[in-house]
Amino acid sequence: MRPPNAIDFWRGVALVMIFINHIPGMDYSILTMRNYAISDAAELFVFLAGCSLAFVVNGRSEKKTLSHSVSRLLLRAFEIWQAQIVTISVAVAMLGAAALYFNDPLFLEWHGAGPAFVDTVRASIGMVLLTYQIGYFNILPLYVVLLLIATVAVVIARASIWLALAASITLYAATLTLQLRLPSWPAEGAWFFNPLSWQLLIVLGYVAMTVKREHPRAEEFLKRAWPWATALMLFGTAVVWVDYRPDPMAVPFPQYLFLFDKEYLSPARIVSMLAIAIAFYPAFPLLSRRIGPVVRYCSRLGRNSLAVFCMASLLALGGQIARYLGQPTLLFDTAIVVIGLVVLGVTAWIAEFRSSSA
Amino acid sequence: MDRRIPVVFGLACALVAGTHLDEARANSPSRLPAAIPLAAPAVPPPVQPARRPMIRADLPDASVECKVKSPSYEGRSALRSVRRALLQKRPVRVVALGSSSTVGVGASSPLASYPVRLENDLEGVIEGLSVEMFPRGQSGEVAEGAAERLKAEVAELKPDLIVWQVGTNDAVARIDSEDFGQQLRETLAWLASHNIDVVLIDPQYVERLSKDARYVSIVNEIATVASEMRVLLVNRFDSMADLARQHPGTSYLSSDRFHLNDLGYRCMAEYATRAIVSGILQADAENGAGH
Repeated sequence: MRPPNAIDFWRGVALVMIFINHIPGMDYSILTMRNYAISDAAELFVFLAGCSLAFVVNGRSEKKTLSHSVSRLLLRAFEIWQAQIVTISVAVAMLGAAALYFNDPLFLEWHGAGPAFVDTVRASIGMVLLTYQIGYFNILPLYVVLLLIATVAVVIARASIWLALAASITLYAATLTLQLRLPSWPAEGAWFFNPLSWQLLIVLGYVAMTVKREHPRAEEFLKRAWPWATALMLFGTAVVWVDYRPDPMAVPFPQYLFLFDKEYLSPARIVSMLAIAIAFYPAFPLLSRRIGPVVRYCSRLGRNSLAVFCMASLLALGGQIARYLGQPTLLFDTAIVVIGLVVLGVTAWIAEFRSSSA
Repeated sequence: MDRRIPVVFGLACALVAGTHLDEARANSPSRLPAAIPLAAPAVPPPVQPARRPMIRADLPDASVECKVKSPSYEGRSALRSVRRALLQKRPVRVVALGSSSTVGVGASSPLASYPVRLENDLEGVIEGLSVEMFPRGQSGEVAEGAAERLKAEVAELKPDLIVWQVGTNDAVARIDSEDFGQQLRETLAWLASHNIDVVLIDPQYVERLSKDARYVSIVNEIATVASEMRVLLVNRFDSMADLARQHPGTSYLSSDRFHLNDLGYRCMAEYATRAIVSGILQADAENGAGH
């Protein structure tokens, strides 16, 4: 078990925020990033996935061989694919069970679950192909494709890390300009998160960590950039607080370049994420000294992010069902959050126990 | 809001004030169509046709199985953009937006029944009408997040009409009805400012929730906002309640009650068709005034 570090800690924080955001309507969502920044916990999670990718590829002490890196990434993509199929299956079963037990057919239509019950033939194929996603269970399919794209980026980076970044930016720009999408099926439409644009964020995380390690002047750059990044971050907060969003009809083409669009990950969201990363870069050592137990808790979540993410998604669905059946009050929501945080901690502990004893 | 720091607020206000002023102007009620009473009879009386109507269509009768006592839709708004598309002899671009029930296309998919049926019903009723249907789900998104996505999609698809199943996700998430209503108003005003016609469809009737104050308050809020914003509203909740009374049973998930749910969708397409036809006839009766 590795000791707490900044990436694991912030990843744990992102997981807690994702858990809370996935239960819409709770007052506790006021504590999450989306109320203070143009980007939200999903961006943080993906950016940090890119940062940790750098360790997989570059190793903690010495650089790994290309075949080692590629096989690790492909294996990870396969693991996440499995995790998605398990979680979406459990989610569909939860909705089905709730519909039967409470005699309420509305459950069968929650979050786009309808095809799983009414069009099972197509939905079961789509589930395996990741083209059938239901609401709030759409981050892992994104993650699978991101890892596949990141594998290509890692291969290119062997020639030059800047070439990998350039290729990633080119794909991003083409996606926004030509409005490229991965189609969803059997439901008509597109993936909730467009992997062709979101890949830039994971590549940026990977490039940032690699450059930071290989260039001695990186620390100095981060120090110099800190005030600017902090100002930019605060500006983003102000924009969110005045509830400003560009009007899609008023911006020039290509519109997604100028919006705060989540599907396409508009540039404003990326800039916001990078500013936050730089602004909060010095925070981890301070937090470790001040709030050690919280740092240890979040780092444990972050170290076991896949197991915790799956559990958080299912717990959030359980929380949604509980709120729908009951009459939610602040106390009710507090109970959901507390139980959720305890179960996530236990999940991480079990996952860690399992991996350390294996 | 209490969490907002006045200084930052003021600074940011100053930075974006220009855009907001523009938005406020665009959303002002003066840009909306003229006042229309809330409850409409099933067949709207035409508003003094100034010239001979240019569109040939009859308001279809509801099929026997979809006949309900309550009015299947409310409002008497003119769907001017749809009429314009018809007169220009180009396909009417329709986005069928809403919860999972709208997704799925392809005539062989069981879930296709609602958008495909709506498309077929409309084309069958109005002479010369061709519909280009874009079914779009809003999987699990409450109005707040959905509004952003809706705007982006509207800017991309440029529809003439949105048939919007609204409120189910918000009702399920127990969102406060006033917050929900405010968001809905804002989105409808935005759509009106871009001359996009709208027909709203309120949430499903669920027996278990028929006396649930929060669920019903969302249904009522939609009726209030629709009337205020002069938007046609399909009364799915009331109509399904009528249908449920006509098909009594103990379990929603027994095969006959499940059929009722399916019937609900088929009837919804009929009701939406009636609402849309009435909106087109209204626009024709007004002879496209204002466009």
